Amino acid sequence: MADIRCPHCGKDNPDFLDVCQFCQSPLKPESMLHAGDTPIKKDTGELEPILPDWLKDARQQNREAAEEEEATRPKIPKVEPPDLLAGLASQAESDEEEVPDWLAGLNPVADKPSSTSASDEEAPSDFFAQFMQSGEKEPEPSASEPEEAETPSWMAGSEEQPSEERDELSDWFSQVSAESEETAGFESSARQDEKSWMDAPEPSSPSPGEPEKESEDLGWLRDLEAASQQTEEPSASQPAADFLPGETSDQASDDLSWLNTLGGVEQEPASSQDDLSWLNQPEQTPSSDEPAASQTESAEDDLSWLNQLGRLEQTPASEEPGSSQADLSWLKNFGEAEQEPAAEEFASSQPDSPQEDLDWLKGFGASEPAPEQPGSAREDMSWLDGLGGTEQEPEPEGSRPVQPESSQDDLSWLDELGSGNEPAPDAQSPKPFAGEQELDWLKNLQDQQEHVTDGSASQFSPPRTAPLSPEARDAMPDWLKKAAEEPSMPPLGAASLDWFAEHDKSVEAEPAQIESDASDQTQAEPASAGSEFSAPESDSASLSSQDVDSMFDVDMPDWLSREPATAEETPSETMPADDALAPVELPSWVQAMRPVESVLEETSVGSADQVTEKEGPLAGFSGVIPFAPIGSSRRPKAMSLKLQATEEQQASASLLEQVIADETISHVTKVPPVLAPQRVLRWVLSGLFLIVLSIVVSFGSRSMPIFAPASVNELSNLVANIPDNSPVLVVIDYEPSLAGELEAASGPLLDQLALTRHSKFTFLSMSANGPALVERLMDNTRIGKPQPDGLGYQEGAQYFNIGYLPGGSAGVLGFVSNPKAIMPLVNVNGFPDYAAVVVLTDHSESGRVWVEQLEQAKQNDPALANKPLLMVSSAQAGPMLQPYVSSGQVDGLVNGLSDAAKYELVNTSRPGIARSYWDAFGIGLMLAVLSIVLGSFWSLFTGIRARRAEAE
Amino acid sequence: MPIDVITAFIGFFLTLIIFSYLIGDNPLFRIAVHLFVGVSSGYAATVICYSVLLPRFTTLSLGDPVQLVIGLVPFFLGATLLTKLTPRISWIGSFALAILVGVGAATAIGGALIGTLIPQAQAAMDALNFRSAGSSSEAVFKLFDGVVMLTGTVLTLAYFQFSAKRAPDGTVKRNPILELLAWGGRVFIAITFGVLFAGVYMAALTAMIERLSSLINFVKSFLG
Repeated sequence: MADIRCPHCGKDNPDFLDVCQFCQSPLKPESMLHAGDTPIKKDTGELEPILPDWLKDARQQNREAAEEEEATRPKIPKVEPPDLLAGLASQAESDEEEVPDWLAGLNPVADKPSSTSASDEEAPSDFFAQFMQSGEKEPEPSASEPEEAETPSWMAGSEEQPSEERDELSDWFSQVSAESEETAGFESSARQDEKSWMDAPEPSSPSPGEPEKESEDLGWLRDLEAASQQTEEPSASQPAADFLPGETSDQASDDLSWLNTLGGVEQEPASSQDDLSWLNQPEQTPSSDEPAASQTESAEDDLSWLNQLGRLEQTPASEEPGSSQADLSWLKNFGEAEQEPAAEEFASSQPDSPQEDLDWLKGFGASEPAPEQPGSAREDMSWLDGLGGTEQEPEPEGSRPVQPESSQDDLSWLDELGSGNEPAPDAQSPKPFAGEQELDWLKNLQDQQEHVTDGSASQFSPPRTAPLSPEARDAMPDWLKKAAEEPSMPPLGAASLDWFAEHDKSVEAEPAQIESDASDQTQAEPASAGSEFSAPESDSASLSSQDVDSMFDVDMPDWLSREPATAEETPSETMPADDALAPVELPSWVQAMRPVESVLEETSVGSADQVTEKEGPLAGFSGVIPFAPIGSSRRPKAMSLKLQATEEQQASASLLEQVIADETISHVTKVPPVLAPQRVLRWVLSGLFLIVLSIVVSFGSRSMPIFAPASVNELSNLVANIPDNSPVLVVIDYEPSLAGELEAASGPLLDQLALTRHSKFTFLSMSANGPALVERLMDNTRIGKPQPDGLGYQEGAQYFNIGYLPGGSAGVLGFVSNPKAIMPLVNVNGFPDYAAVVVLTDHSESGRVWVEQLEQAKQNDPALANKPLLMVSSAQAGPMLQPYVSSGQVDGLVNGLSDAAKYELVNTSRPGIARSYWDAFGIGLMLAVLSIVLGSFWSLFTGIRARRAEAE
Repeated sequence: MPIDVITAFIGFFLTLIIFSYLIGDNPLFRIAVHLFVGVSSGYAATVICYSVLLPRFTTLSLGDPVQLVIGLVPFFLGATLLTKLTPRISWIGSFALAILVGVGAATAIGGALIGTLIPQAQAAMDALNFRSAGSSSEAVFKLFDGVVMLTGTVLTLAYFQFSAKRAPDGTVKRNPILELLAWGGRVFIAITFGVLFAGVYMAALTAMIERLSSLINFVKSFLG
């Protein structure tokens, strides 16, 4: 599996991922095109196989139509204006693919003959015009056909519905327009005051001095107008209209006055020149008064093809000279029921509106004839005045001075909506004032067109679109049919607000008049079309469409905001005859929508992960909207279902499992052995010892032999060297529990001293019970017993029981240093007066204290060096005192009954205590040894038996 | 009845009560124990008063104030030790207690150093001094005694050497040589404990024989 290196973080990722799994940045090129991005040139021919059948069919139809048109239509060189919107015109050449092919292919009559007129040649490129052309059976003059070709046929089709079939909204607008005509003068003046913020930059006239004001506001439109002026000849009627003093000043002060005339019935002759007067067409009934020349001019500059939208019959071109010059005049005719004479409108209202206002909106739905709109066609969008207007009648110039002020401020044009049947004098009055309210940029737009368009009023007649053919209607989608239906709303105009009040009246009057107008229009168009259209007008039409596009660029999709392709440009580039599906540059929104990108494999990497918004309220912000390409194949990271555990972890887990399993198994608890045999054994042993020893003691057996070692003789010799009648210090350092042992052990030594040396004993007790033990010792050793059983020692004469010596080692040291100071009752003056020191101890520690302190005293007092230190110890303390005997620190040691018996043997068996205990002592030791041996064998036997039992 | 007979009876019954412990703990044994403790404490207090305190008072030289003050210092320090019974004023006896501990520690350290360490070290070195041996057989015996003593000392010290290294499997083991020496040291330690136990047994056996002899003699005295 190949890896793709992330351009952002540089880490490798699996090739099936679209987004980096580490930094979430796109791994593959940003194939998805988002709204607002520049379309990328793509070879859409590769998409042909995946297109739906219906789209393929539509494309095929479009392709065939293009081939036919290319063969018949002469190419008109396009002169692009130098302004920023000039790109729209250029895009029309190269970006024709931006018009959805599927929409372009919807035209079922794309193969209609168009060799006679330019509009027929442009029809294949304009998907809306395709529908319109099908309905237009009238052969339009070549000069005026471009407008028709640019007019969406679906809008034209909407005008095919008779006025009787208007819906409620159309009726409402017509009524409102009727009312507005009456009060237009007041409303316009009032609105002019209210909207004075838009008045300042407007010039007084559309003369060459106008560009100064245009530079203040939408000057880019001025360039657009300039470009159009280069290609169009200024109409003769426009200069006259532009230099009307009253109107120009009003237009300079009012900028949104065009709204007053939006939908006006007959107010704006000038707006029809350069506005989107085609919007008048949806409700406009065919009028024979419109000159064909006006249609040709409008077709050059604007999207006047929309004028044909819904128009049943083309108005005479001579009636709409201004609209042909003004680019957006086609909107004026949108919904226009009747065209007013171009000459009247041109003289009255056009000079003002084209300079400053958007009077082209006045023509929206209005029925004003084109000749009245040369001035407005230059700069404004007064075409909106005619929006919704049903008919416009020629305006007398005399009525114009009355209405300018009122039409400047108000939106009286709404009154004209749907008031196409009203007489011209009422409808013309607000038009001059509507021109005063135009914006500068719109005025400049008209100025440019004034230079281009001719002065003839017939040139400004709005273009008309032919009614849809039955085939086109059948192929038309439902939504287009609905759009092509006659609107139920009243026409936009000054009297539209009165529409509701006069709804019944207008409905009654309109049918007859509309029918007549329609018949007139169909008769007038062929004648005017041929005279009005010329080659430069196609450029002006493109410029006007650019203006419209610039207005709707914000909200409209790209394909709508761009200029419909002209007949000269589309055939050669969009529809190659030999390619099945030529590589085209799809519109951005189409590229953004199509899911092809997720199918195509691309390995290159996208540029940036954060997209800067280019449109909408978030324009300029980057990374606001998360990057999520359409059709992304982002998939979660593959996770292994296998447990990731090392061998050690698995071993631990198995061990834990075993431990848990062992816990679930029941174990038989072993009953501990009964303690009764131990107690019995203890009783047996105790009884055995008691009985045996008692028997031995009671019988006074002395049969056990005693072997006296040489060390005993040394001790006896040492005692024999002690001077006679010398004081001997006897230290009582044992407890009453071992008094029997110590008395038996010390008896032979003391007996020798008393008997042979007549030593005077000084008994010093190291415990509080010592003094009592001294008396007991003297009695049991028979030293203190009177003679002849004892030696007859008396206390205070032969022995001194000086009492208890407290303080431990310190007391011993003090006593050794100064016995008199420590023990006032002592019978010596100093410690060296003692001929020997006999220590009777049952603890090694207490005997060691005397050894240590005497050793220290001997180093300090050389007189003590030769003083013998004899020790009589219990059998339990003897082994610990033996090292001192070996080191020579203790001169003689009698350890327990065994040494006492030996010493007694040496001392001629006196006093005989040790010997009396000796047999019992010996038997007791043998019993102990026997018990240990028997116990060891018993333990061995039981152990073997237990092992055999376990083995069995 | 003479006092000796009474004390003989008391001694006889108390001995039997103590022996009753062979069949288990019983009230009589506890009575004998408490009686022994009480009598011993009372007797010790009496001994202390009569053999320690009273002699000190009787020897005070009232005419010499200095000697009197010096003679009273032990009484004063001894009296401060009684304050240890009350936690509030126990600090008063701390000084006398400090003197006791200090003096006792110093005396014990001096005595251990001079009376045990140095003499025992010299004795261990003299164990292998064959010049002190009178005869060859005595020299051999002394050599054997010295070798055994030295071996026992070394092996016993080796047994208490617990330094070891951790094996790769996590177990802790001492050096094999040191382990062998420690095993020999454990033998010497076992022999020493056996000797001590035998000494204890012999001391107890002697005491039991003395008691049995006393009982038998008491019985014999009554039996005539």
